[in-house]
Amino acid sequence: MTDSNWEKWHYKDIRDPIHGFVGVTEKECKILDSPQLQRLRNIKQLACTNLVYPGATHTRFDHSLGVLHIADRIAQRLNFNPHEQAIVRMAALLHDVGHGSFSHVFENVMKKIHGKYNHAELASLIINGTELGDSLDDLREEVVSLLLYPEKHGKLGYLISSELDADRLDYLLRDSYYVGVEYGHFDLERIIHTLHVIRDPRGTEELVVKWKGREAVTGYRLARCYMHLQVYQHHTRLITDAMLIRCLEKAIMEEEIPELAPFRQAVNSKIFLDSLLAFTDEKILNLIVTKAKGQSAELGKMIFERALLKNAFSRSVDEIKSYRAKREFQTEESLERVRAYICTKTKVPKDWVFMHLSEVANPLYRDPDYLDEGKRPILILEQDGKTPALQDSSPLVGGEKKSWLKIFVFCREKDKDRVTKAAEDYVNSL
Amino acid sequence: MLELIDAIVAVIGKVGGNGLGRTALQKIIYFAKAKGLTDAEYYAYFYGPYSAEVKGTLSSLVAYGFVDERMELIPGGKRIYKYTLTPDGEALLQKKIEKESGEQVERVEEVVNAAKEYSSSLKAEDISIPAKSYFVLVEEGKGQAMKPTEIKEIAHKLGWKVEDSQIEESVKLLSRLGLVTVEVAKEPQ
Repeated sequence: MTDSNWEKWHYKDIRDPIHGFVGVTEKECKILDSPQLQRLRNIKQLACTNLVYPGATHTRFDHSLGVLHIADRIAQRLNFNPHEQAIVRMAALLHDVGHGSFSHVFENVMKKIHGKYNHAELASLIINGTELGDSLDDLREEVVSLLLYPEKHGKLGYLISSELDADRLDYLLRDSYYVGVEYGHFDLERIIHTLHVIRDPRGTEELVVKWKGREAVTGYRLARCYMHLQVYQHHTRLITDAMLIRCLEKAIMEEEIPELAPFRQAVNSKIFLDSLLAFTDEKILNLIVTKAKGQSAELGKMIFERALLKNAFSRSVDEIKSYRAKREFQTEESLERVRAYICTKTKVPKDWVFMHLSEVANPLYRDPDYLDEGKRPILILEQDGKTPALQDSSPLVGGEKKSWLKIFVFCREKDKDRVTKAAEDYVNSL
Repeated sequence: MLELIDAIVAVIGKVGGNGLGRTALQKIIYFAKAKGLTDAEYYAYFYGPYSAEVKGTLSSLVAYGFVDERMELIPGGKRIYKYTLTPDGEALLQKKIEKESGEQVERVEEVVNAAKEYSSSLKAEDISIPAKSYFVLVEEGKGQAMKPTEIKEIAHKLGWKVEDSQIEESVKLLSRLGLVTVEVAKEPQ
């Protein structure tokens, strides 16, 4: 039985374009007012996607509130007790606090530099290493554990990290609204209404969707797939991300900008965390444009002026008939060979030819296997009590095996014709 | 050393027949890595040593049309996935990988044959035990000689249920692969 104390959960009500009013408690209000959370107001949810869709200026801050709201709606629907409700709301509110400037772009840069980067781990370090932890007081330990190890927290974990978590349920609706497309819409109310908790034979709690919600969940999967195809993997968005990644990586690794040096340190070091918290999207890009001397400054300036790289070559894997060509476009190493060929043929400097492999990570036909990836598939609770995965239950999701892979070569406008020809020659020669 | 992508194509191609399950593939690549034939990062997971790189590369091979993925429902409602090479995958193996790295592919085939001799159907439950034993010996025991009971204890801590007799049996495959040697411990006087 959730706590029906309206005053407690609505200490303040914050207006949100997606969910109406989002109620927050006094403690959550304190967290929201912390510099760590306020910083998220200046980190855009979709990095530079606003260069493609001008409306996409929403931030990690708005999204964090939305995730709290959805987590709460589900917690109420599933009758969480007040303590569980408080924990899951707080974890939802803090789930993105470990994001760096430009969100996932920064994550990709750190992966290139350090080999790995986990924003949930960073969130836990920030909570434990700043006054945020003190503000959480009795909730701290459980919130950190829930963010780090959602799989160990039964139904609570599902709300924080699963194929149907509050994060995904919010960002699809929010991104769709701000980008100005209809693809991301789905029936949130029906999904929440049909959620149910069961226990598997080992006694572990599993979140399932009752059979009545199958169509709503299928709609949600379709929404994710279409948002990837139309928005997240839009070629101009891929170009801006590629430019930002190169810009940040070069500035951190090759430029002598003291403020960026901490990002070369271990990701769990205090100096790294302090710098992560000191930067926002605008701050880091301004710094690079002002202080860098090489390609990173040039790329930063191009992003500011929206003088973007051009798409010189793109090909879906399905369109490539030769097995040799497909093999050449499959790994980082082989892509490097392709790039070397293009650069030799065109005399375009290596740094100005960008190879990119785009993959829609959420094709309709494949649900992540729980045991294989530590992720939990969407399970449908049938009338006979069986719980097949959505892909084995929905008439729309399953069977289809289209490849969603596409290869891109980006370059400057002045090099475009030569690069296009070289890339085509290369593919045709294999 | 074969690139991981080529090693996976070689293993699936050399297993042939009805296809190879994803858990068994993980373990065979693990043995191939232990033999220095390819490289991938492994860590302890539900069914033994597991590599996200192998999983990712396999998904990529499916997406590129080199490997066919087939789902089978087995009694109890559990889903298993079987992998076979597509005609493009066969062409990649025969016309490119074997041509450029024939000797390495032969050594991969030896690993596959040894695994098949150990478990003719390459059942996940069977083939995971030698992988678990080897993981414990190398990663946890740092290569020190260990008794089956010691391996079992550490395996249990990693969440793997294995028995002494299974560990003793698993040594047959590890010995055949040249990954371990067996010493008979002297009883204390």
